[in-house]
Amino acid sequence: MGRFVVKIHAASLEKLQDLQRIFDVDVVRATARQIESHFAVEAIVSDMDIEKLRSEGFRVEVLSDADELGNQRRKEVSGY
Amino acid sequence: MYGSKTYTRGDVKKILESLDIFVLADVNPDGKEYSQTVDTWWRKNRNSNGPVDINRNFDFLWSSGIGSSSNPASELYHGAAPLSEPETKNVVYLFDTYLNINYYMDIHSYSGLVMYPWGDDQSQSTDSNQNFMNPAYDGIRGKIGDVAYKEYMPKDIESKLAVLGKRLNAALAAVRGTKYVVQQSVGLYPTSGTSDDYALSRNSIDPKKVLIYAFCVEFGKEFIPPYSEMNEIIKDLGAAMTELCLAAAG
Repeated sequence: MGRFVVKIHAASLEKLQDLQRIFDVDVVRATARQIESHFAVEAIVSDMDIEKLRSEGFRVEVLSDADELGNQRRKEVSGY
Repeated sequence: MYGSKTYTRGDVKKILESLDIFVLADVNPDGKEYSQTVDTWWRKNRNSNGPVDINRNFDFLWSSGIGSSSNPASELYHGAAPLSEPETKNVVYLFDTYLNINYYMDIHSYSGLVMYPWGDDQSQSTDSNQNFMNPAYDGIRGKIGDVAYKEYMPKDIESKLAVLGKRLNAALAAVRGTKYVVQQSVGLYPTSGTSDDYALSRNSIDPKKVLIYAFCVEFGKEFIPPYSEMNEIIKDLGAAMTELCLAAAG
């Protein structure tokens, strides 16, 4: 199961808040923004989460492969 | 000197001779060690009975469930009780032991924000009954944009927090031109159990306790910036922290 850094777009603020409230998505709350007429927030989710969220009507934009990025960053500071 | 932002010898002398400064360089050392060796994205502590999000474990509307969870599997698990975690207790120990602490900054990643309380709801300064201690509003808080509840904050305190937040941001921006956004913590996702709200709330609960002007800075554009960028962010934050010290020194 891969993990990804994503930006999730929702049509309303209520729908955006459902990500945490109902779907227990690990959102990065401080990144939540209103973008013109819709709302978006970044999150770390699995590939299964992405499928589920898309089926629930969210637009999910994949920003990076979290596992790959994590490995790169970890090597920079700890060598592991 | 932080990039293009400089402070004079007089500034440093003023800070060192008039303030006691406490630096908790790493509030969550076990969690950090785990993130550097096993799971990079780990953010909670390493409590074997259910790892806890330390920044949901403070005693501020802890049981409200606003932006927190009672499920140990959740990334937002708030713990078994308020202040249950040793990491949280360490922070509170400082407040309880050094009674004149009246400025506080909690540093996290990410998003490029300088935030100040409240985090549970939008604030207002006209109805002091709408406050976090009033059980009549339990279950009503934490809804953005409604009129049923907004968290009370006296106007002078909010003004000082906003002005100081802009001052910290200006110092940060002077380092290399990076501009953060200064805003109330609540943003679009209300929270509870956070350290900055707890710090400010201590004086509301007990007016004999010193008023703590609290901030939470969310640095950078990603959870874990590249090492080279982190070195630059450290300068940004160094300027913001020095500016806070200068403000505290008066």
